[in-house]
Formats: sequence, structure tokens, C-alpha cells
Amino acid sequence: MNDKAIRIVDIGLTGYWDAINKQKVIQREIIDGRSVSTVLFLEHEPVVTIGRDMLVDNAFNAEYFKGRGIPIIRSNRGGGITFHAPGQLVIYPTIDLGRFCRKDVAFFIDTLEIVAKEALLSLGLKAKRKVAERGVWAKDRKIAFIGVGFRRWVTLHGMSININNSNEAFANMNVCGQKDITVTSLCDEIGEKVSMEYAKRVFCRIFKEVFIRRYPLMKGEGIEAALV
Amino acid sequence: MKLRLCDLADNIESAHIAEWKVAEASEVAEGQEILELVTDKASFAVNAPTGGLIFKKVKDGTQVSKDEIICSIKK
Repeated sequence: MNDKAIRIVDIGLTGYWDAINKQKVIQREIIDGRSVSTVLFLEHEPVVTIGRDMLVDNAFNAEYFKGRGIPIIRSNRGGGITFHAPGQLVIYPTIDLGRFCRKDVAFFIDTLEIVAKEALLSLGLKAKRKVAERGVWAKDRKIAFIGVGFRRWVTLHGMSININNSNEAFANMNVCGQKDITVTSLCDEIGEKVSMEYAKRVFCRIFKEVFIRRYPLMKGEGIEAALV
Repeated sequence: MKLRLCDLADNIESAHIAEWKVAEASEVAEGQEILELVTDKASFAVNAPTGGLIFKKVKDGTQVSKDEIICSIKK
């Protein structure tokens, strides 16, 4: 078994269930002591996913998505409704929080938000977190989305960040179960496309920095990255 | 043994009962997955801390705070 605390792997364009099933296998292997914590970097084919937040209004324009052949999937992650498509970076950490002695949901979600905020800054966008709302924002436009799950304190699902994708689909849903949220992308905010390969490298570097800073026990073993 | 939310999941102030995985009055084993809890951005699979018969489960969809009893397990 790999002796690093975490490995980061880029699996490229991947269907929703293919990615989630891969993550579930890794989660099972971690629980059984047969795998190290693993972070998947990927892009999804177009898909709408609806999380399990029971307090929000996950309304969406079914005709819009049906007309484009975009599947609508119910997921067991936390959070409300969202959209994935190529051009959006998806990060699925399957991390054994118990091993790193920090069984704290809010702390983990905070850490993901900090990764997005700092990586976006490295890519030229000053984004922010909000006190009362999750996600990462460019002024009042949402650019990064989070929905996670836990089994025996091993994480599942994760975060998506709009890099170059169109925001049109988001206008046809109550994003994250909230009305009147405007969604943006890095490309729209800085006025130019950013290579996804470059964005992945920046997010990978910042992910390592932030997680080691906030989970000091990861420092000894280190984080290994294998981006394609 | 009465189980409170704080006994089943650390550091969660409140959550929704999303789905029970076991029936009322059924036998559960220690470590068996019995429940899925949901907060605003996270879902949790909860495992039985002990084995026995499970009773008085709070209904699916109920919001519970950390000190509330959500079920009892009788050895």
C-alpha cells in the first residue's frame, strides 16, 4: 500500500456514477485498511444532481434538461441541486478524517472552501467565503459548490468549481436549493479561458498546502499527486 | 441504551433523519449501519454503537438537535 497520507489522482472526463462508484470502492478500501486516502480530480459529463438537504427548494426546469438529454440524478450527498459539465473542475476527496484526528464536519467543509478560495486567487480571481452561506463566491456570484458525505469518518463526494463552463444551465434551477443565486465561472470573471490542465495543477498545489496546514498529521507522510 | 444525536455523530448541532436502514424492533449488530443523517451540506452513515433490539426510532424527516434521543437499543 502507498505510504503517503493522501494521493491525488486525475481521472479526466468521467460519468457521474462511474466517479461515485469509484469513490465508494476507495472509501470501502480505506475503511478496511486496504487503501490510503485518495482525492479524485475530474470533469463530469453534463448531469444534474440533487442532494439530500431536506430544507431547500430543489426546483428546476425539467424541460430544459430533458430537451438536452441531460440526466437528473438523486445523490446521497448533502446539499441541494447542482449541475456538472465539462469545463467545471470536480474534486472528490475520499479522506480518512479519523486517521488525521479531526472528526469535524464544519472544519472539513471550511478546508475545501479555503482550497477553492486560495486556488482561485492563484488563478487571478479574488473570491470570498460567506459567514452564513456555504460555497465560494465572486462578489455575490457563486463559483464553487460543496456537498459531502461521511461513512465512518471517511469522506465522500466533494466540491465543484466553475472554470470554463457555461452558466446557462444553472439559470434553469434553484442552485443549491436557493432562489435568486447567480452563478459564475472563472472564465467569466477574469475575461479569459484558463487551461483546465493548468487549473488542475494550481488546485492540486493549493490542496496540498491547505490540507497540510489544517491537518498537521498529514505533513509527516506527505501528499502524492499524479496529475495527467 | 438511549442514543442521542451527540452519541452517534460528533460535532453536529442538528440534523435531519434522512433514512432508517433498519426496521423498528429489529435486531442490529454492533457496527451495523442503521441510519442516514443529513445536515445542510453533509450526509452521514451512522453505525450502531452496540448490538441489540432497536426501538422508538424517531420518524424519517424529523429534525433533531444534538441532545435529542433518536432511538433506543435494548441488549
